[in-house]
This record gives sequence, C-alpha cells and structure tokens, in this order.
Amino acid sequence: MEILELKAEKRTTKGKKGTKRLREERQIPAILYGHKLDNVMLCFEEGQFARILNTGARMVRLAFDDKKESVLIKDIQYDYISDRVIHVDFSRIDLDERIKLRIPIELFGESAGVKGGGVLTHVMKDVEVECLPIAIPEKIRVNISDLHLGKAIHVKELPVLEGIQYISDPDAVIVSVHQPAAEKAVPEEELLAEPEVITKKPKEGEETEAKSA
Amino acid sequence: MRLMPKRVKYRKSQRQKIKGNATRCNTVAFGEFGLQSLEPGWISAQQLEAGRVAASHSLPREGKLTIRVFPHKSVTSKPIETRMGKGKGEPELWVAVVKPGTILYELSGINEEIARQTFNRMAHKMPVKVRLVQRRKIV
Repeated sequence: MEILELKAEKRTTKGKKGTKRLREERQIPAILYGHKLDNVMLCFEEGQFARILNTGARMVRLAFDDKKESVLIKDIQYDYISDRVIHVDFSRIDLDERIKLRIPIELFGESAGVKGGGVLTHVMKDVEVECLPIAIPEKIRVNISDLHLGKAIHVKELPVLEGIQYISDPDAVIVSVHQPAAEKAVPEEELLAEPEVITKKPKEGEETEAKSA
Repeated sequence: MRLMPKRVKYRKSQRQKIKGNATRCNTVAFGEFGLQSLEPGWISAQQLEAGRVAASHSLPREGKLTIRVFPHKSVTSKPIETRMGKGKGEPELWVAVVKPGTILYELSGINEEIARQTFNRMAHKMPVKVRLVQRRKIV
C-alpha cells in the first residue's frame, strides 16, 4: 500500500476563536499524539486532506518542520450539516509495530436464505483487527451466498488473511438471515389510550378510600 | 405502532424554542443511508407514520427501515369557537422535536438508487427540508 504525504504546518492558534479563523481560511486544525512524545498542534489545507480521504487511506506520512512521520488517522470530526472536516486526530505509529484498528466488512453474493424469503440483517459493519501498518486491508469481503435461513456468520468464520488477527469477540454475529417479523396488530383501545401520568395526584375520593383500607 | 409515550411525567408541555443544531442522533448508526433534517421543526406522529407507510410501499422486500425519532412532546389545542382563558387546552397530538442535522429514518440492505427513490417519497410527507446522507467511512 502506497503511503501518501500530507504537508502540514505547526499552529499556535487554539480554542474556539483560533480554530474558527483557521477554518475560514480553508485549513483544518489537527493534533498529533502518541508514543509518549509531546502533542503537536498542526493545520493543513482542506483540499489536500480531501484527496487523501478519497483514496481510502488510513495511514499518511506527515511532513512538517523539515521532518516526516508515519501516522495513523485516528479520528475525524465532521460538521454534520455542511459535511466539512473540522478536526483530525493523528496517532504516531512505528512501521514495525502491530496496531489495532477497525476495518469495514463488505458482503457480496446473494444469500440463499434471502431467496427463500428471509431477511438479511448486517449486524456488525466493522471488525477490530491487529496488524502491521503496511498490511492494513481496505475492507474484509464476506461471501454470503451459502447463508441459509436461520443461519449466521460469526467473527470466527471470517476469511483468514495473512498477517491479520481478529480482536473482536469470535462469537459475535456479523450477518444473519431470519424470518421476517410479522407486524403486531395493536388493539384500537390501546392506540387511543392516553399515556399514564406518573405525577398524577389521587382524587379526594380515592385518597379517603386508600386511607380507610 | 403506537407513536406516543406509554408513561409521561406531565400531560402538557410548554411549546419551547428550537435552538441550534443537533448534537446527538446526527450520524447514520443502524443502516447505510439516512434521511437528515435540514430545518428545525416538529414532526407529528401521523407524519412519521405516513413516512413509514410511504417507505414500506416503495421498498422491495429486503430493505429494512429504522425510525430514529420518537414523538415525546404533546401539543395542546383549544376547541373551536371557544373564548380565551379557562386554562390550557387538551393534548391534541404528539410530536418529535427535530433540529437541523437530526437523522429521521435509516435504510439498510438496499442500493443507493432504491434508497434515493424511497427517501424522495418519504420527503414529501415531512414538514421539514430533508436530504439523503450516507454512512461515514470508519477511520
């Protein structure tokens, strides 16, 4: 896997106002941490990072202060309305050290259970693995064509990939096929019923009845 | 499906202002596609149900729909031709309060083309502007 380079600069501006100003200049604030070294506050061009994200890369080579470091993209914060990246976390990594990260699972094939009238439920959409940074897979492909009604595929049944160890619970379900649940008919009285009020005070008559009892 | 709470602390609530953007329920969590609100507003239980019915008519058998909001708030109204005063009216409908960014519905087990078609039909039932969003890639 080719490691792409990201040119960044050190930043001194921090806090709400400082980062807001950076974002107005189409820069993304970021932080670099890990390996018990000091945290470094960085910023880089938005377009440059978007190009890296489009390739699906999980690892980049950060270039700042005349040095280059291999880093893992640990977290990305988005603005949920404009879809812009607002902050990135980078974690320092050693290329010879195994790292833990989550890899997306992709299903392929047409399930035999679905053909027989079942409903496919993709429970686990990503799985935690341990591997070397250079061997990070883009995704794990799972064939579901042999998945029959009432059956499931678990983490322990995932394809064995060289140099990759699955960390997630081996008995965790990834995908299952089951009978479609029939919609329960709610009685009309229940549909029209008012919600029960928890703080409702008992009426005078009820109170005296309760006392006499 | 009964789209109103089973138990409430108080029957009636004040109207309140809807301020800011959604800070929770703003990511696609259960499916691959989501219908995101772009405006603040109230979505009534009937409108939510209308959206669900529109989806069930449009979806092929394998698609799965998740409703991410619930009408927790009661809205009262006074009977027509009634003089003002004499206290607050009776609960008339139940609504879900949504902010810009809230994910209203999610779809899974279908391709983008069908998701777009289904959400387009559902959008016509919504009282707020909405758009389709996809599940984000993990990092």
